[in-house]
Amino acid sequence: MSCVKQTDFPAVAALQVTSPALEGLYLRTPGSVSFSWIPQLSLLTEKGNQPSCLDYSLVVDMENIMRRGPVGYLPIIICEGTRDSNLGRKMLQLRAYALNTWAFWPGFCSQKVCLGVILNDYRATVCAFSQRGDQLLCVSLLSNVKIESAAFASFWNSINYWALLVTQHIVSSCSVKAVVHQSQVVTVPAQRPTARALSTETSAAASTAAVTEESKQAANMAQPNVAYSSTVRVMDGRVYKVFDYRERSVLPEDQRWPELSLKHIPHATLEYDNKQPMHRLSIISYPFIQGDHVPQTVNDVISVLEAVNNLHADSVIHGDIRWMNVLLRSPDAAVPAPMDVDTPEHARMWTFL
Amino acid sequence: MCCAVGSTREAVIIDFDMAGLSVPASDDSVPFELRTRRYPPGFNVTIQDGKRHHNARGLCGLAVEHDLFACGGLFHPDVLRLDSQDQGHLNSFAEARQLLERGAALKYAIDRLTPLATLRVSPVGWSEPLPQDQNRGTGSPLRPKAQV
Repeated sequence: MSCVKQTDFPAVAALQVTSPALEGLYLRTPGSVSFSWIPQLSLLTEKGNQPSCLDYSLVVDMENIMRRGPVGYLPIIICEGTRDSNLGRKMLQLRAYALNTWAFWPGFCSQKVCLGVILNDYRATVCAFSQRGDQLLCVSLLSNVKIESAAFASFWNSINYWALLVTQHIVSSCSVKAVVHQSQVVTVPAQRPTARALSTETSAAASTAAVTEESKQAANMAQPNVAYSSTVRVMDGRVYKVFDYRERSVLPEDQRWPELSLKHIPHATLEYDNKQPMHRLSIISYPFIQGDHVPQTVNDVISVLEAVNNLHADSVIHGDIRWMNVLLRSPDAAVPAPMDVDTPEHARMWTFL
Repeated sequence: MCCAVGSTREAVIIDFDMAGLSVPASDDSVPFELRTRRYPPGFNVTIQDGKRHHNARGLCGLAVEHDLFACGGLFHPDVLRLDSQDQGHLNSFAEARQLLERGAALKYAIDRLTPLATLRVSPVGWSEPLPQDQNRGTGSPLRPKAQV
């Protein structure tokens, strides 16, 4: 952590994916801790600029943790964009994400600190979350300030510091070697955010602590025919799928349910279930092996019809029969090859918890 | 596991997120949510790798005939082409699909297709993986955030 340089804060108009200020924080060395910024959406600035992304999440890619943990990356700074003027709901969402982070990786978050950033029509609101005992502590760092203001600029500078701070916490707590590449630039803020002591604003919703992963896919990952979706991730030869209905007003009958996947996908297991019907969070996993969605002969079509016939014989209506939900595989394959292509997007890394 | 017997390749059906059970709504032995399943509000009715039944729409209930129609849609002319010039083969291929579109049992379609089993087929206008903007087939219920 010695390659720390002072740089100027980039103008808001320059906050694009290609901005060196953003790329500068992407650190990746095999076996090391790495950060990456994830573009989420575009947001016009008052001056008419349109950065290609302003809703970022900072994820910490800890390969060792990935091997040990059930689902992927560990987010530390969570950003959300919204046009809803009522920010309370967004803040609750971020608070839940923070809680989930700590609940999911209690061993890796010795310092339970998380930043929540809400971008709302040229304005930003920033809170820091921390946990002490059973209490969630929340402090407002910025409240609805213009994103082109000096206050936000100062905060933006500080994000890199937060990243560094949290990295150090993680490194010290789980013996992962952090390597900062020589060419990387990490900005040191004029005022460290930790100067603002976290005041105690207890969260009444702390009971929602749970496990989640919300994934966006990496197109260059190892399995070429896996379509990564916002709720699916493949790791260590298994497919992890998240059903997350917290902070969403979706009736149980309109939610996706994992029960029939668990029953009909071979070797599927339930990793987690918070058992709250209206705010359900479930994670299932099942084995992955290569397969093919594209039929080659009429025999492949017949195979699908017979498979659906078997489902119907079990009184199961699939509801989404299409080639991308069919996996054709050689009969000598040792393990079935379930995959998922619900809402695949191929170009982006996945983001916040 | 749902695999065809005796085929060169086995078909495994995946993604049971929206699946439900075709049991009477009054059957209390089945969880309410599994016997009253509906397509999600964002359900995409236009897909390239299959066809949807006209009643398979957001907030409509699942039905077996929707699955049957979708099975026929797997080899709809817009989705899959039979690589044969034999009019008899082409007719059988089309008849099998039409049977399913009319809600006939799968076994009748299988009977029509079995003599064609070794003929090759080719996808029409889709491949693997589907382009990003064309593969939002199921459509999750949207999160209540207004992104720009």
